[in-house]
Amino acid sequence: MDLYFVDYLATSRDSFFHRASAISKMFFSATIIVAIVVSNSPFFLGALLFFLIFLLKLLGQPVLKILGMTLYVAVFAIIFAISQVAGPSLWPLVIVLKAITAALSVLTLLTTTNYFDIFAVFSRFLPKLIADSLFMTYRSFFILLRELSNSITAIKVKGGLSPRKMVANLRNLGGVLGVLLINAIDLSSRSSKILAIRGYKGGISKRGVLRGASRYDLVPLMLGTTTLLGVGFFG
Amino acid sequence: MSHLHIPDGIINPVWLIIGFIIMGLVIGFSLFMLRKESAQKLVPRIGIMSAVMLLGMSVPLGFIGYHLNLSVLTGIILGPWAGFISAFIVNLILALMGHGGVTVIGLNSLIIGSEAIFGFLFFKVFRHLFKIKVSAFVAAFLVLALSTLLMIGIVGITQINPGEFIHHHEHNHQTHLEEHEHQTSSHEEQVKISLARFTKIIIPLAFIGWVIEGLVTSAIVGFIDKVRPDLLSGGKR
Repeated sequence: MDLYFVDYLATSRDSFFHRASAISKMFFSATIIVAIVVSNSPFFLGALLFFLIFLLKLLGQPVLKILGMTLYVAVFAIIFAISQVAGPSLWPLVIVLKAITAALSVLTLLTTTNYFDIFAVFSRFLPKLIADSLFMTYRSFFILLRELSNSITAIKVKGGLSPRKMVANLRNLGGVLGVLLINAIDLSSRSSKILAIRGYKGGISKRGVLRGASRYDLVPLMLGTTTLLGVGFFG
Repeated sequence: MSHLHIPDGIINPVWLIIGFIIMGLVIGFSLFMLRKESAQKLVPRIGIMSAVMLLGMSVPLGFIGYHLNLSVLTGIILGPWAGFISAFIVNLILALMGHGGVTVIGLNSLIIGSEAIFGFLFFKVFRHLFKIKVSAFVAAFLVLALSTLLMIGIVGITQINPGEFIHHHEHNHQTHLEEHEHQTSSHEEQVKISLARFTKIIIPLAFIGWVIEGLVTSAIVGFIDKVRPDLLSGGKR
């Protein structure tokens, strides 16, 4: 997972999609997923995939790297497709297309939207405890990632991680994750004290603070509506 | 290791909705069970453990598609209810990363959440029978085997024959009753065959995952037991 890279793309770049509000882009991604659920046409799904690739290119995003992130889900889609002995010959292709296109649609959202804005939308309908924990997870991930990267680099330098030594890798990895976990729990205790000092009563995430609508919202809204019309006529 | 890596659009929407409803009910029950706990303590703890789960999934294990879940460990440390909420948060973030389908968040949360719940329960039982490292390994191994079976069961229940609706699309309104009966029986047969094939592919791959996850969970639990044994009380600190 490249959460760090995704976050970098969302915060460091600027495009008409980046400037649109999270809600309009979530609507766009939702329409793509609805189209994927409804359509079983490999041609329509293929067209949808090319459209997303074209959109990402237009937004100046690193298309190949983002496509690379969909590989994991594609591998499992292929396993699922292989297991399907029934159905028309193009069905495995449909499964893989659905997997990659759905993954790409959410990645389009996440690589163009600050996570604060996405979580602000979620906090509208999620219970406080979950919305705040979601925010805390995202924040903690980057802190712990740096620590984990440093530990793994240190182990690699000392020859503790080698592709040929699976058992040793697991033992060393267990140690690294154990240390990481202890530090993580300490971090959580510190966070808990900070929350207590600040008089926390639920609601760290930007509850209710949603970016206002702008003319940039028209693009995702129109693209989403076109997708829905497209699946209605051609899907 | 046992996510439901089924893409969006494969499972019948009815099952997806059922998945979301059951997930919502379990989350509601979990929140009810956690109502007396301090949010000041719970939020950082759930956040941190969810982040650790996400990190575990980021660590490459040398094979394509193999990663740790650490859901059993999360259950052991957070307890079953906070563990389930943690599993939901992880699934939500994974779906946003394109790592799993958005529409299967409900079903996926039930699978990974069940690992946290049963991981806690199994570990609680086994730690009275075996040494702590062995009990962690056995709990993780058995729970992952169970959750993989749950995943296969869900695939089996929810699986729809692609040929069926494409056939219906092509021959709209022309299907006779007799033909329909023939299709139904052949459909059931095909689903059985494809589910058997799916199981044959998944089980050997998953088995390696159960062993790896069991060993890592055992190593981490062993380490924690030496350094901070109080953390192994399932969130009751």
